[in-house]
Amino acid sequence: MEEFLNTSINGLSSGAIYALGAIGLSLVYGILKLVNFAHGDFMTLGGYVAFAVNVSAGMPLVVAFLAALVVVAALGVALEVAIWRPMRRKGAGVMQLLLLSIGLAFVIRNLILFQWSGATRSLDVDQFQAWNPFGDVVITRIQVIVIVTAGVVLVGVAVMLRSTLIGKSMRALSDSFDLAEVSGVNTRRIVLYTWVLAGSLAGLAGVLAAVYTTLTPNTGWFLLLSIFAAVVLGGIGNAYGALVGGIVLGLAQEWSTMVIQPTYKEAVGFVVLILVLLVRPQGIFGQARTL
Amino acid sequence: MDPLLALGFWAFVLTFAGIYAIFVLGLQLEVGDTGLINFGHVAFMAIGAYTMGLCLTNGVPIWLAVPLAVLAAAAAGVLLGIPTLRLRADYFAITTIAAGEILRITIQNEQGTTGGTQGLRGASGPWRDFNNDVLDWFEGIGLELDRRVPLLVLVWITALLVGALLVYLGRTPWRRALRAVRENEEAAAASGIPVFSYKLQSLALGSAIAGLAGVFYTLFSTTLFPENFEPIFTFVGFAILILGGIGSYFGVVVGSIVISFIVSGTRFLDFPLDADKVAALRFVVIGLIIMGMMAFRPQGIFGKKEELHLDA
Repeated sequence: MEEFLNTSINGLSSGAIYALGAIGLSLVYGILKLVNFAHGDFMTLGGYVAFAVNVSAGMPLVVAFLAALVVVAALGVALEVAIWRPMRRKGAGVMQLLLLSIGLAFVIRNLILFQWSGATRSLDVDQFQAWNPFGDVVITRIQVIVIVTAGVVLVGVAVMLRSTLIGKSMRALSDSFDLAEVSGVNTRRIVLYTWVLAGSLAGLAGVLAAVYTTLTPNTGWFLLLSIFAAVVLGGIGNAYGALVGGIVLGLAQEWSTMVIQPTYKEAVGFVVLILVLLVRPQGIFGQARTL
Repeated sequence: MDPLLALGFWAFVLTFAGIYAIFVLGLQLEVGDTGLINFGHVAFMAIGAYTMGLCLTNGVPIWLAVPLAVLAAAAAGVLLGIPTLRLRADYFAITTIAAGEILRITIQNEQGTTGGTQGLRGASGPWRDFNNDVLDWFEGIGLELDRRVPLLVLVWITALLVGALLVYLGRTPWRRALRAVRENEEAAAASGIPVFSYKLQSLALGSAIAGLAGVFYTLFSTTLFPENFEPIFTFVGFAILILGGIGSYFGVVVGSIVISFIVSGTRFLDFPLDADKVAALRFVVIGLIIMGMMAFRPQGIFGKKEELHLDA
């Protein structure tokens, strides 16, 4: 039982990070038909911005969080204006945009490597403070930060998507770009808001990943495949699905360590990804029509 | 740099380019001719490399190990293709990358067989002795060669043979059927082409070619590490493919030389920067090449625009 609770806490922590990354990836895919392979590197950038603010400049963690959010959101918007919008106007195909995003991922990752080197970094957080709420169940200060921050933000995003006009417009665009446009939605503005949301969530996920584990120029890239799995699990293009998919995947990976070697837990995510695509490609929450 | 050392260095760069050329020829068959965006191509190279390495470290003779490695890679292609080839292009791409990562993580964890992160040592088996015999023979007739030259020659002969095979297949109804599948699956199916079977054949042959690249990789590096087979290897392969031109075999050769030069050849030049920073900038350049090509000339240098299908 204690093992189950401990792995659940670990799973919720990594699942929360996946979920934050997955929502943006899924919304961008749903609305723009862009499979953004640079999304993981957006997260890495968030982590390094936080590192620069928190460690290099010695400012508090909260400031680091905000800086990462702002920088990555701004990057998302800048790339939309500089690359994605002109490419869509040219009528670029899905694979063309996908390959372009791979090139972009190379550029971002290696500029990070250029600037901050490949050394493993961590943020200024107490790594060792932990509580035992009962029995042998352990929860660390870091896990509390991750779960609480991600939990608050995820609920906020879910409410935003459900109730606000911007959120509804985003979902409408994701359902059908053309129908939303003829119904009078200002698509260009909503696309920019989508990048702001996707970018800031990716930045936040990157900082939390840096807090929870460590930070290298590959951090986001390694997380990206699991995040893809979360997106597929929740139904591609479905933002709530991505949220739940991330948490389910995080739990599944950690629970798997009770039966198989922990070093295989990443592979568990990929097996889930392949099985879902083969058996239920619309995901747990997706509907067949969205394919 | 000492000229003889420089010669060895260029032999190293060009051997690497030749291995990449073989690898990307397989990718070209899948991506360029059939329209299968395979992001897990490196997995089949890993299967070829580790099959070769495990055979040679266990005393299987080279002449048997090579076909076994190629067959193992082809079989893996069929095994992956049967369930996944029915998926849409972007899902297929993500599935193949995930399958490749599962394989890599497995290799990493099964230390008992593969050496895991410690590496599979002595994977090239008797190759070194054979190589020395060849060098001695040339020395006997008064030619002193760099120790990398025999492999360099062998790799490029193989690359040209694979290229010739693909060009030959290009004149047969087989590749016309593949291209029909690429152009329009429904129309191809309606004309009586068994689409699924053709895709599977393409994936099997492409994987076999990747396996062959793996065979040479084993001879080239002598110790195999799982991190040699990360997805980035495939993506650099895509950079070669995109630069040379999707659909052009000649483009593959040019692309692999150019990209290999950027990845390892620039070590030759002296930059006023740390080695790490230069390494990072190399990959920034490769990223910019991919981006620039996709934005302004998606068909690549030697590709044909009308043959390009990137709509998924």
